[in-house]
Amino acid sequence: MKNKTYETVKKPPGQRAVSVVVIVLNVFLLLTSVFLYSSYGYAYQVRLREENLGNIANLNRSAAAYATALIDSWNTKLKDIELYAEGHEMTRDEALEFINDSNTNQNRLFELISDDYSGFLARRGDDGEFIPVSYQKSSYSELQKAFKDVDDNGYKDICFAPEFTDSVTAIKFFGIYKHLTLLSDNGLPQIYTLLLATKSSDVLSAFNSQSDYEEQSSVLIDPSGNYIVSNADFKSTNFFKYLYTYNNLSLDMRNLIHSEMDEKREGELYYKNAMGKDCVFRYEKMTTNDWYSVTCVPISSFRTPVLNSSYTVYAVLSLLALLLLDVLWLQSINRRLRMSMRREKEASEAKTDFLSRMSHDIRTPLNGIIGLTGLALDEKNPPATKEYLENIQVSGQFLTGLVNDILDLSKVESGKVELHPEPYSNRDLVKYVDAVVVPLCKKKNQNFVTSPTGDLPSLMLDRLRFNQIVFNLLSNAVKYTQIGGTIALYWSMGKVENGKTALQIKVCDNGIGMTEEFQKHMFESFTQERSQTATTGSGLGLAIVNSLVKLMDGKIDVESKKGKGTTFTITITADICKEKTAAEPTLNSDLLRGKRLLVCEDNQINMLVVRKLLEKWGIIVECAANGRIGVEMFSRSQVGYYDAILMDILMPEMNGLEATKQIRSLDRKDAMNIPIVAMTANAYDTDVTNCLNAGMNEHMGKPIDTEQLKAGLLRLTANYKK
Amino acid sequence: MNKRISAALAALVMTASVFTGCIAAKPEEPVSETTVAEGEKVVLTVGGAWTDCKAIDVTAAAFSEKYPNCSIVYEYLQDFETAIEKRLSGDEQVDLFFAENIQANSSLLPYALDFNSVEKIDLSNTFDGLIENFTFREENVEKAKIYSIPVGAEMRGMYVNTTLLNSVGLEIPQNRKQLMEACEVLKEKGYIPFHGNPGSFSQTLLYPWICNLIAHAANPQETYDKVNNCEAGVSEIFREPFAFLYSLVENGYYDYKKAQTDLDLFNDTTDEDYARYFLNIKKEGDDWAKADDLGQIAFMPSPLSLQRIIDKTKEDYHSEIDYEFVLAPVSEENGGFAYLSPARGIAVNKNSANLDKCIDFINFLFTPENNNTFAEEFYVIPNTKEAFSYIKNSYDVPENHISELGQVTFSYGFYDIMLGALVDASKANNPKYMIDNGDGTYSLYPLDHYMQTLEDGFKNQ
Repeated sequence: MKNKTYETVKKPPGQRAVSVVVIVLNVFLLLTSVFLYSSYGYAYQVRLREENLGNIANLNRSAAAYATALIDSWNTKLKDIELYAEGHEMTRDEALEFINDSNTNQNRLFELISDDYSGFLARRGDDGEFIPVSYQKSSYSELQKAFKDVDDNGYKDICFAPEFTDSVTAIKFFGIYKHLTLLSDNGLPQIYTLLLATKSSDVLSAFNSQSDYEEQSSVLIDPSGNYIVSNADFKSTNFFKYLYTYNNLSLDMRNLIHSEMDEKREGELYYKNAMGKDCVFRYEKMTTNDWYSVTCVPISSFRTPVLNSSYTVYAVLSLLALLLLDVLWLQSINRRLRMSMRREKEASEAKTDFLSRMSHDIRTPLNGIIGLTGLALDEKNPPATKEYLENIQVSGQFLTGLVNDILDLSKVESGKVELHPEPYSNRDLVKYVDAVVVPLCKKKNQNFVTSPTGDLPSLMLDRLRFNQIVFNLLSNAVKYTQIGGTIALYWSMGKVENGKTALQIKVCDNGIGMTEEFQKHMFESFTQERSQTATTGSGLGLAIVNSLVKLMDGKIDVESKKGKGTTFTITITADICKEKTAAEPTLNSDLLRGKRLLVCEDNQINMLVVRKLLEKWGIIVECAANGRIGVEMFSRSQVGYYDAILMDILMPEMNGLEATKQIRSLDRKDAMNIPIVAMTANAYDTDVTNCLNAGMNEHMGKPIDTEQLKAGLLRLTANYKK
Repeated sequence: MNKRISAALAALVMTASVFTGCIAAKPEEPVSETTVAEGEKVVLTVGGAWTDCKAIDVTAAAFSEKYPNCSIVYEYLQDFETAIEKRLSGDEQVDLFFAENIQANSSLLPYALDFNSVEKIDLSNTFDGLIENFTFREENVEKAKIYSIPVGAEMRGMYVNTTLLNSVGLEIPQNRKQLMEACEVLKEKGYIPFHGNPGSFSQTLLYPWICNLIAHAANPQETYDKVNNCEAGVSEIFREPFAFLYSLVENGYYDYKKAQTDLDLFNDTTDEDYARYFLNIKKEGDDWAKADDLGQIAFMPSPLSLQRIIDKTKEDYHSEIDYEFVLAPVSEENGGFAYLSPARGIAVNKNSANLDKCIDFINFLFTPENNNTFAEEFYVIPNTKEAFSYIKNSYDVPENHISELGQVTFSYGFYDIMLGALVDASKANNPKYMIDNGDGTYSLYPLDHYMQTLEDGFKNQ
């Protein structure tokens, strides 16, 4: 069967090739997607960089243009003052007066500073006098130093100061300076520094007014890196020192940057700013002088260009194609799986149907053979005929056992056996053994020994299956023990824990025993040791025992020695029965005398067997050849006319199940409660369930077990209230 | 089969993840912890005397990351001593500023916030000794005040040019006797052994010794009281270090004037200048370059913080001069004197419009993690509970040669008085401050002259 199952799931020809193609396509599409995305990512990065660098370069030029325009306008202003003051040979106070009168922008400050670092602001204070200012020598020297740097670069007539701290307010100012000659009090010419300044914050806000990026900042530097227009984001007093300090550069690297800027005139530097952020520093040498405008933008502030839609569409389509392909592939796999499962199910059902049919078809004639043989034996027969009939009966019983074994094994293997635990005591076991096994022993003149019959508690066991285990072991023991040998059955119980106990059964014999080689395979189906003298049996008994013990979560141990005998030990853990078992009623067939039974059976031989059997017990039997006739007879009868109905299942015109349903649906008082007993060769649990679901009270398998039938009828008719 | 389905699903997930990569993940925004992150964006300005203050910038970046609505800007104030007062009293005020110990005579006192009056301030992770040294105690006022908090601690010591010493067959001196012998050898070879600007030279060299004379006196409490009360004759406690300084000057082991005029040394006083002087880096045209790999300064008293700048300068100019930083071996026994002094205080402008945020920044600055980062960039020892143990862990110095801050913290400006007298003594061989013999020669004033200067300083405090 397993081989057949493999065949059903085996891939159709070419399926493997399809799988390979699908996998290759998956890999191809994935790699293509990754490649495309990488290409796109690279192109995207390039474009991002180019677009942003272009923007930053423009911003940098704008800042430089603004600074140039501002300085040019201031330069013009200073030159105008110089020309006018020197042309009119003004004294310092006259010049201050003139400047104060001509300055219309209150945010601009003019100072006149003499060589002793002191001077006046060209603005009158509360006392009406020009406000005096004075510088520290060091700060003034710094200014002079800046002047020199600028002068050396060809700006002789105008001096640009880096950001400086105003001596009065200690606030940062940005200014430009020019030397001019005024007359001192004694009429001698004296050089003054004319300063035009405004607050750095005002200049910077205008200087950085075109701000497209977060944390963008610009400065102007001279060729040495000193700030002309500074910015709080640019640290130190020198641009190169700033990069050097905040990027832990070596001096060589600092000098290299300096050289590179000199050489290239414009470009980008990539370094960290004072906040530790990776930035691009765009620099460009101005066209009007040697200064550089430098703009810093953190790379994290770069704007993101719009995604290229064709890339996105292609990527999405690739993904969708991949998805579609995979879904189709998965559906194909699922379809094959479903088909395989259906085939397996169909094969299983076919097997079950086959066994069921075989069981039914074999049991039906067997029922006739055994039943009629039994009836024939009851007659007066010549000794030879009687012997033949007895042999026929034995053969029939053997064949019944064989069919039962095959059916049981099939059920166990397919998981269709369900256990139905019920109270079971050691007395039940003794009674069963006395009835079934002891006669077998007597036939072979064997001694049968059992445990003393104590009053052990009842256990919850499946009576049928447990008896089957015991019977199979004991019948094997009888079979493989020589005449006059000894068969023993012992049982014991372990400690009771949590309402459970371990029941141990030992079946011992001093028979022929088993070889060690056979013991390895003894639980396999259809296995018998070749040298065993007894040739009867299907070889299924131990396999069934083993399966049933496993089903009960028990274990089975074997000790056997060739020529010495065998001991099987079975241990099963079972619940202790809390209720006391009711005493089994005596089966007195006299109680059935005069009862009227309707028997629905299409097989005439079986009908004969049943009728004869029932009549032997004094029962009045009325026959129906199929279910439809049975229903008609019941419906035509008076209420309470029949005491029970025996119903075959497989019948022409109307089967037993349908007939039962129709009887139960009749509108008469006894329709619902008249006992209906299934009497069929269909012996699977599903058959039993179907019968009960159809409305039957009990199920009895064929060949008919007369004792079981008698007991059932006694119980059902006794309880039937017409 | 399951494997194939899993592989197919994994492929889908991979593909999806590739494409979801197109969408930039939104960076996780820092969670604000205080009111700083709420409301409008605030810019705090920190005023300082250094053209750069990378330490503040680095800390500011971390602060802004934690509090996105608040940023810190450092502003270099030219002529800081006068500029800071102008800014604190003017319209455009700084919110925080660097200031040394603000005591009664400080012009910044009216503008500085008393941290002890702020409930929210958290200095629990700082070293008590450093805070105590900056604590201002007024007479008859029970509660002390703290106007500035040292951001770190300094160690005074001496940089020894081992290349130069080795070239004349000397090892690093371990005690005063060896030091003087080394000086004599160096002098004979034509070197001025000790160098440094007189404004800081002597206090850097001798202040740990001076502190030790108080902290580990035969009767420390009695000595402390005597100094604290400026009792008559208190200057005698410090005669030995003054005598040592005097002998350096008298013997020409330290001659700042000659160094400045003949060798062009220590005319500039930034840390970078000090490093260049020590490594003999000289100006060549517009650029700097190393003059040699030997140097001309054997001993240069300076704080530990200079070490990183020397290392950076050494690397930048490819100098081969080797050196060591040691505690000045001015003791008779081996090993020098150690004293952990507060370095670079930070104060809050009490008139700041963003006072609450300033406190947040101070609290942030003095968490151990941030203070360590800050101190590292500032080249000082972090102001944390472990500050003092740094000395013991780093230098082999006798227990009785280590002074704690609390042992030399007085109710008046002891340091300023001592500094004044030491600077005077270190200039003793400058003809400008010598006795004019009238014949073109000059003589040193005697040691007692400088001891008297010191005594007068205590007397007039």
